[in-house]
Amino acid sequence: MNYLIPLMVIIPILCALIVNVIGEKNRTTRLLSILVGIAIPVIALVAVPGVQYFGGHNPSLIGSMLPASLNGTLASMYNTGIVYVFSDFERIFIFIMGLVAFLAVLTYFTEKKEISGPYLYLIFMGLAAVTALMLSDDIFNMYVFFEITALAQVGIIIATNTDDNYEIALKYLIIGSIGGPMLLLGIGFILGTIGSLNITDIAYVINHNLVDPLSPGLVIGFVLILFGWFYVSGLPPFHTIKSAVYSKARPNGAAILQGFSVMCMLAFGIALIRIFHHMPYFNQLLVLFAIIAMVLSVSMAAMQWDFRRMIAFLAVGELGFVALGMGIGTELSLTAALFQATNEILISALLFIGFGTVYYLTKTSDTRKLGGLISVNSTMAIMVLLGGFAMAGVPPFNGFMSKLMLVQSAFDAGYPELALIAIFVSITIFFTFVKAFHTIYLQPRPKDLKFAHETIPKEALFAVGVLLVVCLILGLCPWIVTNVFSSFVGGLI
Amino acid sequence: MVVMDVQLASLFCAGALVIIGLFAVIFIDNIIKKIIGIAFIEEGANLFLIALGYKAGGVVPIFMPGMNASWFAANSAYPLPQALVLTSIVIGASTLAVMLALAMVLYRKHGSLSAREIMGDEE
Amino acid sequence: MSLYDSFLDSIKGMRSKLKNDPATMDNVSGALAAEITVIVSLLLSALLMSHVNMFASVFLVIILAVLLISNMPLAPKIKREQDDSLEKMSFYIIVTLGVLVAVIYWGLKYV
Repeated sequence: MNYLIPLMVIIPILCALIVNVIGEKNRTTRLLSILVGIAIPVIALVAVPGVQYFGGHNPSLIGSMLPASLNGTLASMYNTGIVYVFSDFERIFIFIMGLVAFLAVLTYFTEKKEISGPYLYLIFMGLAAVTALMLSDDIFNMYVFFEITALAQVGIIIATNTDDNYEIALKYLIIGSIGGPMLLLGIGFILGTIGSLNITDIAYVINHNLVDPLSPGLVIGFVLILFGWFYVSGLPPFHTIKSAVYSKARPNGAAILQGFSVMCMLAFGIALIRIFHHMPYFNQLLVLFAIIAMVLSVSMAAMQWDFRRMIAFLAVGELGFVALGMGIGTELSLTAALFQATNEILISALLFIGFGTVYYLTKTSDTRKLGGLISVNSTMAIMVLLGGFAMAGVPPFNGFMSKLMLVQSAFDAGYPELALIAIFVSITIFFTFVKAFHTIYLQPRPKDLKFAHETIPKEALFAVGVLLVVCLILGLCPWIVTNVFSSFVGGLI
Repeated sequence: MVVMDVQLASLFCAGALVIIGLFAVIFIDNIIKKIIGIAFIEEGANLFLIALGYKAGGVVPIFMPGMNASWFAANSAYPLPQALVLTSIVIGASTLAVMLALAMVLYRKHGSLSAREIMGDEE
Repeated sequence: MSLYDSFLDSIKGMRSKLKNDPATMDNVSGALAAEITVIVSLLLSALLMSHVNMFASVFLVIILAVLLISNMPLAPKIKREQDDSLEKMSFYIIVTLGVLVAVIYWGLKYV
């Protein structure tokens, strides 16, 4: 029994409940949050790969206890309980998400003197939920944890004091209430057709032709889950609301929100690929939506004045690259997609926290009113610039490596047009970023620019620095993660 | 007299609930009515799930001492959807609570419940 | 005097006209970048069709060229369609859901 696997979910939930209660006691709350923030990545690093059967429902053990009439049937093979699978693949993502959550909590502490217990509760609850999403092999369990994540995301925006945050929160909930139940209905159709919720079981049944792979129930289930996946990951038509949500959160909150979205997208995307890769035109559909996501989000980002909205659109657009890799569907492209997702969590956290310091200093996010901020702290400006390079795909950063892999895989698969689209979109990302960087940091400072704070907190510098170093390490030695991903993908397709 | 299959009737009802709910969410301007529509969608999904596990003449899926295992396996209703719906109801209730709270806050801020006024084109 | 006033008025009129013209939004470089990105990726996506059928692809490119030229400032239109109003968002969401369900469910029967 590997107790560390369930503990990865239990510890953040426990911490969330405790900080919610003792939120007033500043010191204890801070200490506990930082401890848990460190504990999650560490546990992810040291935990031994394994499988956790909740309730002791190991099918190989209870198979012998079933009535004789069920022996040898499909039902005796099904996993009856929730199963968590932990392998090196999950290790990487949980480690990175834990790291981002830790840095976000750290920067949150410097932003405000009075820390709020409920806000930390939301962060840790969301962290627990996405960890469970990543680990879980049960599609309904994933749905439940996704809904918890969505509520935590809404809570994180409600907890900020920006304009219109309540409106955006309610919009997200209303739109989520179309997307979420569709996902649930899709899961219901699969349950009705196959009789199990365990993804391994479902994939086994479909791959061995025990049900008609194109039966109406499965097809409708596929459509609804695909639609739910768009909602989960913020692909079009959900990209506007997702980017609005990111732009309304605090910088540290936005970093976490994007991490949550990437984790949800990956968990459900992998489930989709495992269950439905046999569907005709599956890959073409994903590629279509990936292109729409990249083009619409990035072109919207290019037209924004508000730099928070701009990064939010860029972050959503980057998810299009992940979807593109999943859509091309070769081993190399899937590896590239997973690598891109890893980079996306890191880089957007870097940019959200880094540009967040601009908002911290001036309390405005309108680039027309900003300028000359490089004189405040040039280290931060340079680190943000390098982070932007990483996002646009400039060597030697990780974004370059993953996009190179993606472009290469598109060429190998015989679709040079996709490679060209990816390159063009990257160029626009580069342009957008450099333009925003120039207006914020380099152009002469407007006379009426007022400062709310004089200096940037050290913790934000530390957080951005750590993220940049991780980006650089992944850019110089991508095999640390890509070897794991390619072996994981090898088992997937 | 036409005796309709209970399961089929439930499935139709679930579909109707989802479609009515979607209609309300999209076309009705009042936020509270939109939220009621959302509740319809959620309940439709729940009813759909619970109808999947229906078995005509089935027994409660609790294995009591003294029951014949094979008879139980052949006659009990499918228990999984019931467990799912329980969870799903809880999620729906919490989402609903957050939405209603937000509607209250927005009503105090804008003095109106019209979605077009509150969440329309602001830029 | 009156000549000067009418001159001023005409300048003001021109300026307000220019303000409403979508081609002269203040973020010109961003709009141009968006425009070029959209056009390039639309044309490249049309070229993707050549994997299915060469003639369809050529046909699509020609149609796209006509459509793009006749609707030229695309960027403001794209921006207008993706603002934060709930109505537009839910409209596109429902359209996507409907199209997905219809195309995949009825389409796959003939595969």
